[in-house]
Amino acid sequence: MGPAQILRYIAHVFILLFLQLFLFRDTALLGFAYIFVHIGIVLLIPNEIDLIWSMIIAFCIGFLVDMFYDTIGVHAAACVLIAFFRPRIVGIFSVQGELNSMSEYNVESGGVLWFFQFALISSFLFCSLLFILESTSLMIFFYALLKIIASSLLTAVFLTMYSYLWASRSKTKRR
Amino acid sequence: MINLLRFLYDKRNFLFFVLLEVLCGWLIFTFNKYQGAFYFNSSNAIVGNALSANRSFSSYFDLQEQNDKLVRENIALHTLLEKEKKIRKIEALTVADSTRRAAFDFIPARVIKNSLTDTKNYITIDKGTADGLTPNMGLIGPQGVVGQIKYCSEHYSTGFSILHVTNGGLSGKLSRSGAVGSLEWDGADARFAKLKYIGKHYFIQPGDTVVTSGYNTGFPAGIIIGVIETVNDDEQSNYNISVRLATDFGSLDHVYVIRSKAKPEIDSLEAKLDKPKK
Repeated sequence: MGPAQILRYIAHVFILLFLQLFLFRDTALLGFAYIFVHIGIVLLIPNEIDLIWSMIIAFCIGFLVDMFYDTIGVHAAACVLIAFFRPRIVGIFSVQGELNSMSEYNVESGGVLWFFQFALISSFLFCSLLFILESTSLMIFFYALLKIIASSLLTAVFLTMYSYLWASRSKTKRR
Repeated sequence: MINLLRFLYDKRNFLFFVLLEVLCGWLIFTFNKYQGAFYFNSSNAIVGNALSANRSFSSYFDLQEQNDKLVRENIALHTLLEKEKKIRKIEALTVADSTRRAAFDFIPARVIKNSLTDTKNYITIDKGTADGLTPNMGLIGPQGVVGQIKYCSEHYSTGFSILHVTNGGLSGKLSRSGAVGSLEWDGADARFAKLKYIGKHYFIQPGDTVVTSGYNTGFPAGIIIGVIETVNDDEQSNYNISVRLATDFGSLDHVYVIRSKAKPEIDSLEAKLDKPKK
């Protein structure tokens, strides 16, 4: 893991946290589609980092976001969940040999569609836990389900675009 | 023993995962129940400052809208003042009553954080104990009732907005029929809330105005909450009423904290009722 990759990851942390906390905090498309770009910080953790450490990073990010949402523990729990299942999610639709050559799971290393699937399943897991923890009764279960599906789609689309922008940036650099 | 240790080592990732999730669960159940009585929320100094800076920047984008709202409110207040003057002239002739003096005053504040996407929504404002705020004070905006303060730090306060599922309910009165019910939010749509416990012997219809009853000591009577959108009589004894809230929670900026001069007296009186008999 070179210094360039570490710097790039730190940039991800700052950019995505800033976007989430100050721009998308109260964004709700059509009233039910939320966007949680901070899970990108968990998805883009470099592969060399041990699973335990990536869960610790996820916990810290979630806890920080929780402080802004006044929901201590909820985002932290959901972030740790996706950090733990991240290797398994990637494993669903890729060959083992492919994964070993990747230093980071992003659009550049796996392609747009591959990253979108990865981001979609991860954000679906994230949103499911988040809205289930949040919903207080079964009465609003179907409404929560709508929120889960819409929000995970929106989040996955945004993160794919974000990662695509980074990929195209490094391509132009190489030329 | 060696095997056990090896097993634990093999499963260390999973065990650590479970440990972290249990920690999160503990955090959720410990801290979210007693919202306010602890440090890690948006009224602490660091998060509060970051949010005010964010708010002071983003407030430039809706200056026009906020101005319009304030102008409209000014007009409404002027009209009210004129009405009041007329009443005062008549009253001056009758009795000088100590209970008639202004029982409430208003502290202006700005919203630095406001959510409407959760089922339990909180509002954080930029005034705190240094400005004379205490928990349980009412919060109103230019358009109507907003919520109630739950916790104050020195310069910031955070509280429930009406959009809060487990909120005990705000006492609301129908200004036409005088019926009093409890306003509760079901967690679905930020524009609507339910008015409960209105008996079917009242005649009500869509378009009726819902105002504060004055039974919550945080609010004076007669502040607008919203307007009835739909009325259903499919339940047994009470109407199922949906109220379109007057406050647009999406564009909330200027709010007023209500300081009741009579509240300490009323609360100490009511506290006597709660004491167990000896």
